[in-house]
This record gives sequence, C-alpha cells and structure tokens, in this order.
Amino acid sequence: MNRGRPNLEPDVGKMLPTTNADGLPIVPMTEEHKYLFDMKGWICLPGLVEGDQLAEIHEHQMKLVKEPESLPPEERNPVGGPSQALLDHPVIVGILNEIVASQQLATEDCYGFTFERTRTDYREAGYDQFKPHGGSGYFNLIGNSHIYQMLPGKVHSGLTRVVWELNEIGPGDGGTMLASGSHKAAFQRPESLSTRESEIWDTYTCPAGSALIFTEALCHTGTRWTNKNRQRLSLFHLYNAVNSRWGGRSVPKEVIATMPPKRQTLFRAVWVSGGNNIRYNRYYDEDNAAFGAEDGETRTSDQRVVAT
Amino acid sequence: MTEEQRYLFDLCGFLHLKNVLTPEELDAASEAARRYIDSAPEDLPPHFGQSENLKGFAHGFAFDRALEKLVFLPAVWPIVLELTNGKPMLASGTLMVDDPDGHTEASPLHCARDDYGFESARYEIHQGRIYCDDFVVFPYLDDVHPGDGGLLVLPGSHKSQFDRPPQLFSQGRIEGEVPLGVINITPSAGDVVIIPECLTHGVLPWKPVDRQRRVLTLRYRPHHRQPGRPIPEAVKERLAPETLELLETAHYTHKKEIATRQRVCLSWLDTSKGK
Repeated sequence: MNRGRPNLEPDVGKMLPTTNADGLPIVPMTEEHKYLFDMKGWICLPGLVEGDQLAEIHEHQMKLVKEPESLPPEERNPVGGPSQALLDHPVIVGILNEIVASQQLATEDCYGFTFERTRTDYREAGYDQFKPHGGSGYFNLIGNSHIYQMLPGKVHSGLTRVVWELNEIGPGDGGTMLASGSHKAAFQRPESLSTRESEIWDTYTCPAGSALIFTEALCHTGTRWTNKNRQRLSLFHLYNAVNSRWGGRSVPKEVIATMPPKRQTLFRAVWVSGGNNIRYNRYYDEDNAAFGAEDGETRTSDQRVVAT
Repeated sequence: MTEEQRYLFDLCGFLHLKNVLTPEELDAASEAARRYIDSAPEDLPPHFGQSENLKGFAHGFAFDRALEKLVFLPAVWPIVLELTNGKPMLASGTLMVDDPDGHTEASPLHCARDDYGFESARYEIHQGRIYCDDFVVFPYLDDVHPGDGGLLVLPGSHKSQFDRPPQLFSQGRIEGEVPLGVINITPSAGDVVIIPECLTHGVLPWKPVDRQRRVLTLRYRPHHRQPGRPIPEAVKERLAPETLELLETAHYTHKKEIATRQRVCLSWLDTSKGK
C-alpha cells in the first residue's frame, strides 16, 4: 500500500490560510489527530463550540426546524445566521487543510477545499436510520468522491463529513455508527457482519458543540435514536476537494451573500485552472459559484430534516 | 480462511477465534505447560528454560507433543497458508507466562514497524488474499477475564501511514484504564488470537493473584524469510517430521509438502522422543 512520494510540493503549507473568515487563527491538525484519523477513518473533537455561541446556533437550528418562517430568508438555511461560523471553525479548517485541501488552490484569502451541502437532522426517540453504506474508499478511483488516498505521512480524505452535534450524545443514545478502518478495507463487507449488533461498529459520546469528522470512504450508518429525554440535533456538513463534486445542491446565493469573502470561497465552482482567463480557481463571485439549487425538505414528525 | 475472518483480519488487524482447541487438546496442552513451568532448571532438556524476566519459556512448542500439535491447529492452518501465500514457516514458539509469583509487568505498545522500520513487516492484499510476512498465533491455555490484564491491540494500526506519536496512549505504557481506541482482548482458554507483527500491540500488567496467563506464541513467516534465532538441533530432535519441515527455510519457488495439505497431523518416527 505504501508508495514513494516525490517532493513535488516544496511550498506545502505556505499557501493555506492561517486565519478563518472571522480572523481567528487556524488550529493545525495535531500529530495525534492525524494518526487516529488515518487509522480509524474518523475522529470526534469534543466541545469545540460552547456558551453563548452554542446557544445562538442551537436557537437558530431549532427555529429552522420548528418555525422557519420566523427567520429572515437569508438565515432560513442550516448554514445561515449564526450557524455560518461552523463552516470554517478554526479547528475544522486546520483539519480540512491537512486532509482535503489542495495547496495550490488556496491563498490567505481563499480556502483550499469547498463546501458541498449540509442538512439539519432533528431526531426524536424511536427514529431509526440504520443503513450501512460506504467503505473501502481506498480502492475507489477519482471520479468517485468517496476516496481515501494515503502515502507515508500524508493522506487525502476525499469527500469528508463534519457532523456537528448540537446536543449531548450519551452512551447508547444512537449517534452515528462507524466501521473503524473500513476506509482501507480490501474486502467486501459480508452480510453476516452488517447487522446492527455486528462487532465492526464503533461510535462516540460527546458534549453539545462537538464535531465528528469522518471520511466518506468509511463504512458508516445512522441508527435508532433512543434517548426519550433529549433529541439529536445535528448538522451534517459535507466538504470536498476544489476539483471534485459529488452532490448537485448548494446554498442559496442570498445566504452566501451574508458571509465574509473568505467564507464565500467555500462555495466556488468546480474547476482548477484556466477558467475565465484566470490561472487558478482561488476566488468566489456570482459567476464562479457552485451550481445547484436549494433543496429544503421536511420528512416525518420524528425526524425533521432541513437541507441546504 | 472464511469470508468473515478475512474481512475482520483486514479491517481490524487481528482475529479472535473462539473454542479452537478441543477440551482434550486444551487439557493436554495445559498439563504440559504446567509441567514445563514447574520443572526445576536442572530437570529440563537442553536449551529449554525460563527467560531472565521470568516471562518466556524457550521453545515451548517443542516441550511436549501436546504443545507441538498446536502449530498445526486445523482451524488456524488455512489462515497460516493464506497469510504466507502457501509458504509457511514457523520461526519460533515461546511459551509466555504471566504469573502472580513471577512476571506480571506491562509491555508497552510496540510493533515491528516502530522498532525496526517500515520494511520489517509487510501487510498486503493480492488477488483477494491477504499476505503478511510476520504474524503471531496465540493459543490461550487459560481464561482471561475483563480487568485481568493481558493483550492490548490498536485496531487498524497495521495500515497506519503515520508514525505513532510517542505521547499518545500514555506514552504507550498502559497500566491502568485502557484508553479509547485501544482494545484489551480477553480470550477464554482454548481460544486463539492472531495478529500481524505490524499491528501495534502491548500487554497490560497481570492483576489476578491466584491465576496465570499461559499463551503459546507461535511466530510464522514465509519460508524464504529468516527464521530469527536458530532452533538448536537438540530441540529439533524432539519434533515430528511435519514440524521439522515447517521450521525449514526454503527458496521462493519451493513448495513444502505440508503446504499441500489442508490439515496436518503429526506423525512421530520415534515415539520415545518428546513426552
């Protein structure tokens, strides 16, 4: 699995933003997180957002779920209003800089990765979403965004999910289930190991305001939410490389328009070089916005989903 | 090797096979191990004996036929053949013992890659089969219960692309609570655990004051690799022809006769040897 890596990128790291759109310093991914993410295909970072900021975001998301008309149009979206700060949280940017970003497509004013879409999940006790999917992304080829590439000391995660847990996830509550290591699994998952009780599943517990990050190359699934006293309130942010796109939806332009310029670069179109006589895709404007239409939806009474 | 075993070994980097030894095999192997451990040094055959740290009993697999038999366990042999690409070699077979009256210490997390470089232990997939050039089969002779201590593994680490940060997991020396991400495997007597040497692993301190943990450590490699420390002739003289063939190094192109068999039973030319 190991291959040699010629040193073709002497400026690695020098073109990546050092602050986020709010001017906060980016927190580089730690050696521990690199090791654990590569080994398991996921990490959970507890308590990244707390206090007043978490309360504001929580309130925004609950209004979106329960009374969306109470929000102005530019905030009527999972990444609108105060929730937009989660898009480029300094810790998340540090991790995506390491595992998704294209160095040559980044500047201090432009992120090296893009945002695809998200949804707000509101799950009450009894809601069940057990549908194992994915895995073995190491063996997928470019064109399928569910890829995982690796070299000694460097990985690329392809399509990458950041799940913001806005309520506490306790033991047995029913957080996302993950088959650790399955992003590199060389064999098809047997049906006999695909049940809810299978020994392949890992999960996590965390306080409100935490982020679960996993490569979509990993086998994962939702499961039954069991906590009768606390709902699951989660955002399922999805990121990708600048030159790749999986989904056809994006965020409405009036929502993007409320964001600082650097944050807007998350929503730029999918190309690398040569567009509009500009050498590299390192900017966002209305003509260089990601395609796709808004797609809001509400499913059932026990799981309300609001998508971008 | 079954579809499930292949998936789990590839996914996690270890296999825990339950009830591999029959009750009769377990009783006989356990009695033989006890006899080895309880023997006075002067009563042991040449080259047998306890290591300085009191944990290892040299050439445990060769001490008695009941232990020698375990190198060809029917449930494990197809896995040995797959992992060595049909070129099996037994490199060593020490009896490891944690004993309240002897060795009880922890072993820090380690793996061949950490200790000897990336090239020292390979793990690859070819044509739907797993290849692994250094792995260990652990037949357990005693029960290990949660909280007792024993084997630690770091699932997925056999494919890791990063060096393990030394500060991670209590600097690798785990003596109390097992950190998240690390697993303490607690087999029953008669179970078998298989790990590749490139999987990060270690051992918790042994806690029980009235029980031992006795595990045969059978190290397999493809027969064109070095066996490690040579097995003395006096030890080899005790072994069955099948085991002697398994111990041999050979050219890449050689096919051992035992490797053509799906099941290997030991035959002894001289029944006075061994036990």
